[in-house]
Amino acid sequence: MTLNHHRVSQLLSAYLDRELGPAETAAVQEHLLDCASCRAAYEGLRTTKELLGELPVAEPPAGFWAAVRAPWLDRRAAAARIRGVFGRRVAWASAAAVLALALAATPLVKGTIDRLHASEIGVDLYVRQHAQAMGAEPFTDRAYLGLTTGDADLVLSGDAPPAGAAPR
Amino acid sequence: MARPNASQAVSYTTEELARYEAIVQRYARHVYNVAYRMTGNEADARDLAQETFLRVYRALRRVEPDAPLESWLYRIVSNLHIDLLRKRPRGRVESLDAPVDTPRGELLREMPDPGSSPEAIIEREQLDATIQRALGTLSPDLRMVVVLSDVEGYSYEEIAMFLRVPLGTVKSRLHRARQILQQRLARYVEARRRGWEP
Amino acid sequence: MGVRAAAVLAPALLVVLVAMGTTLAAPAPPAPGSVDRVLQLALDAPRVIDYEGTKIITVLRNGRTETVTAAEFHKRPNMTRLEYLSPEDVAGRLIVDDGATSWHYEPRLNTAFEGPTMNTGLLRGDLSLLHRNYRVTELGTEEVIGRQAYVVLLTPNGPGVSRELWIDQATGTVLRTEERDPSRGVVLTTYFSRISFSLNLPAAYFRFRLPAGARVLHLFPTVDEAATPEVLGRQAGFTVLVPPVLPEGYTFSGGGISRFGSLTSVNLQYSDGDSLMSLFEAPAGSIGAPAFGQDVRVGGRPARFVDLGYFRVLIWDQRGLHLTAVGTMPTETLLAIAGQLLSAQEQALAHSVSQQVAVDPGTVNRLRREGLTFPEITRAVVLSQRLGIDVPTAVRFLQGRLSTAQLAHTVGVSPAALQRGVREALEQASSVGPHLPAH
Repeated sequence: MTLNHHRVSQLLSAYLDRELGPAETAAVQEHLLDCASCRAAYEGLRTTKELLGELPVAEPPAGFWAAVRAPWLDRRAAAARIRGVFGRRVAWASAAAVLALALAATPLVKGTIDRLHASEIGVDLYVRQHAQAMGAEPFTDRAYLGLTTGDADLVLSGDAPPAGAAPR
Repeated sequence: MARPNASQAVSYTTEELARYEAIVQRYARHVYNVAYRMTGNEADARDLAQETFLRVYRALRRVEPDAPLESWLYRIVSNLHIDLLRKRPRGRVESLDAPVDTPRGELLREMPDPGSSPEAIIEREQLDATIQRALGTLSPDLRMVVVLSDVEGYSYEEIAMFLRVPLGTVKSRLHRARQILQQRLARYVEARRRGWEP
Repeated sequence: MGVRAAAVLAPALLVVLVAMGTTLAAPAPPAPGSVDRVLQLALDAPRVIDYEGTKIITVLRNGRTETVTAAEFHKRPNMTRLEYLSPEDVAGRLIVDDGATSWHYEPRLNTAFEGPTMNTGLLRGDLSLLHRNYRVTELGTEEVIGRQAYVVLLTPNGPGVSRELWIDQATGTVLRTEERDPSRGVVLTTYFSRISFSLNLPAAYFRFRLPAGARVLHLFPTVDEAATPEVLGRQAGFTVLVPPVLPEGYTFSGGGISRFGSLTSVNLQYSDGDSLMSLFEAPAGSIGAPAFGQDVRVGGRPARFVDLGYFRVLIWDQRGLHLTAVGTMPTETLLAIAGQLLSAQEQALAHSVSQQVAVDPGTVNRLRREGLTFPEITRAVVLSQRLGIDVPTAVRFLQGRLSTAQLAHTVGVSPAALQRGVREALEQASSVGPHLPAH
């Protein structure tokens, strides 16, 4: 496939993202070897993408988590929504204040593991939970915790012999 | 206290509330980040993200457990953002001169950094603010595509699915968006290409 | 996809890393001998620097000593990415933790496991409890992978695992660790065979993208740190047993309830500032004893011991409950803890303690319901009497939630005088039973 200069210049972003098929990719590559202006354009796009990718993850402001976790506490947001006015600020602080109580009263329980009949499961579940909690100790090795947690996950999903069983 | 208030007439079981919590855990950070990059300021981002999750909360019973929700969430964010722009006088959000908040977090300000001078940190913050301003000059359509692709790292196919537009549209919007951003950020792009770091 | 975006960025990133390797200036190094500052440097490191390296872990796994290799990425303040490379059964395993959620992806199964973050310690890190329970010794400096490192030894005041840390002088990053059990020698070593520091690893590395068609399993237990055994027992529907004695320094650090399928368990956690012991309690019959491990006897009754190398597990039944203790302490210590729990005459002990330290039995019982062991109660009461503070304040101090400086300020004495008073009070308290039998 041979592509003209204009067509290639339109494909540079997709080429950069590796979103082109093999024939188009080869044709763009071939053109880039010969065309300095396309090479410069490509470099510019690549650098632009790179700059965007380096933007820090925006940290939500204080109160955000509380309000998102307990939307039922936030009547003002609901009122703003009904009025169709969106610019109004919501009651973050009060939501946060009530949340502590709400969380204490609402057990946040989640479990989709349904093969809890085998007696072995308990140990791996507990080891996993212990490993997660060890993350709160300051000098715990995270790669070790990840290894242990991962091994426990495999048992819980029914894919591996339980921890402490005979070696595979 | 922990009850949904009566006017909303929603009373969820513990399981359902746990499911909502899991959705928040999994998506809220990303939704906020996209909202922030779209609006360029904390207050709007926070309203937008919160409104998005309020809708999730209301529709919780209709949300299939474990189904990926990105598509739905980003469509809500995109629509809410467009609503927001309609209600605002043009220019306020899109002006090049509008002051732009830099995101908090990353602990750049609070924490002394052993490897980086205060100048370097300030430069990086200025660069981030400049990029954010440049994003603000794009039309909402272009902005959403470039944020999902280059900030959040989604593939063309995923973005096409989220925004319900053809793949070709994603391609052309993204290319156009990057060209505009490259012009706006020419100084930094050039500097980076020559190998000095801003 | 995030992975693809990361791959595109990778070549550029390497260039940045190489360039930065030379420009990362060393922070002012702590003065020689100030071992506390070295530990503080290590504690702060995750909050101020990003890195990427290859880590080698040697530990007992699947019943034999194994060496595991992983690529470890850290982005400040609390994001981690781990790509396991070998041995074969973990190759390809990916763990991405963004500080809120931890994802584990197993490509062979196309399954992702989502759970709470492992990185809470990176932000909350505090050394007061560790300082209270460990002797911290600086062993000089050594070179690790071509970098100068402080070598610090943490030895617990009671029986337990001691730990040696090699702390990078320039960044504070822990380059190497070695954990030693007095009865068995080295039980865990980890070290970086290669590391590069950076100011800003791409956020895309720390964002988990669910691959197409992957199955997702959610593993979120409830953990409410403020919950006391009494509250947890009410929620779970049974009376929670609280260990009467633990090794010196272990203090109640929180509890929670987890429900998976039909199994409801209460979890109590005790920390000494560096290690953790978890006690899980579930109704007997909701779960059986595992078919593996070693049969042992605790207080004349059958129990099962499972050795996972670094973590050790002891399982037994008691008063209609199925108990599981998980910790890093030596096997004998774990057995002694269970023995105490099995033989404890709660009311007799409470009575004896209240007599010996001259405090009303109501206070002792209340503190037990809050999860405190008898030695913790004794220490808190003696300390409160000695310093003229209320018991809850003494508890907060002993649990590391109130620093020496803060307490000294409250009491109106100098920190040095306070430390003297605390030492004397703890000595006095240590003569009051019950004790964990020495072995």
